[in-house]
Amino acid sequence: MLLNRINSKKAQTAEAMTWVVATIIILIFTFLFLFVVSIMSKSKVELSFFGSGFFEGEDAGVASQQMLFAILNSKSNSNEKEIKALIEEAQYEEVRQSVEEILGKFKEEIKCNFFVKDLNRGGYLVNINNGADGERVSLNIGQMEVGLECSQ
Amino acid sequence: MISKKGDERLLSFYWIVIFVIVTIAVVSAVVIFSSAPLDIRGIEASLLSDSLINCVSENGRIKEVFYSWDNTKSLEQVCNLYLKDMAYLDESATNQYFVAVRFEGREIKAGNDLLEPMCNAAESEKNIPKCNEKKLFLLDKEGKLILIKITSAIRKIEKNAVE
Repeated sequence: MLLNRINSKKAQTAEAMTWVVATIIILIFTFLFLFVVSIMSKSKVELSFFGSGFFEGEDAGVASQQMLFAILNSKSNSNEKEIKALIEEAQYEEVRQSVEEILGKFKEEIKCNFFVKDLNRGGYLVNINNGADGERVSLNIGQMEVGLECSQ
Repeated sequence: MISKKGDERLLSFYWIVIFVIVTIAVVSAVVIFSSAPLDIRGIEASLLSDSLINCVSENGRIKEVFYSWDNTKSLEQVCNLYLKDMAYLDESATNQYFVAVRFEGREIKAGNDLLEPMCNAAESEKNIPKCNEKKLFLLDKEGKLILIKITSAIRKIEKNAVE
């Protein structure tokens, strides 16, 4: 009986069986891991080139910047003054009408939002929202922040 | 005394097996992921369009040089563009790019003309040039706002072919 106890490996077999099951589970998870990696590698996209993610078609701001300059340097239809000058003279209603006319003229091709914000008080003096969803560019004219956001 | 020699050898074997499996898994995952192709032609085309926008416009106005365009000028010279891919060793190095600026009925182009018609090829989205079109409005020389279209296309199909 003592010999049987010495030679019995039942407890050792049970421990080894635990490892067999663990190995099988690890193998399953390993194959799952490789499967997920192969799917992720097929859908690799160009992320983080510019920090916040950059996708085809997204306006990186260069076009919006030039369009903002174009709007500010263009003349209002009613009094031939530049829109930049109208902002400096606080003629915001005139600014709103002129910019709405400009953005409406190109709305089939380009959608833009335009705003003039008072930096001291924080409120919007002009806020034209056409549902654009691109990168916002802005500049300061005196105590005003003038901005444009366009998408195509 | 119960001998545990067999027990330790058995467990060591499984430790080694698991170690090898995990190592192979990690190495395989890295190889699979990093060897997958990454097509950045879309970004490249967009950056090329941005370069052209910076070249064509200044403070919201179209530069005068684009009104007096003639055959003696080229977009590559005026805009400091180098439309060659030196990874190609033969004459196809110059056929990989196409750029165009269009406004008020004028059209100024450079590069391989044949790429643009393939841009929106309906039959397949695989193995065709990647294109980018940007539109913006700028002031013309009369102070009137007009629409400009900037188009760029990048071929490089051999390096980005989808099987």
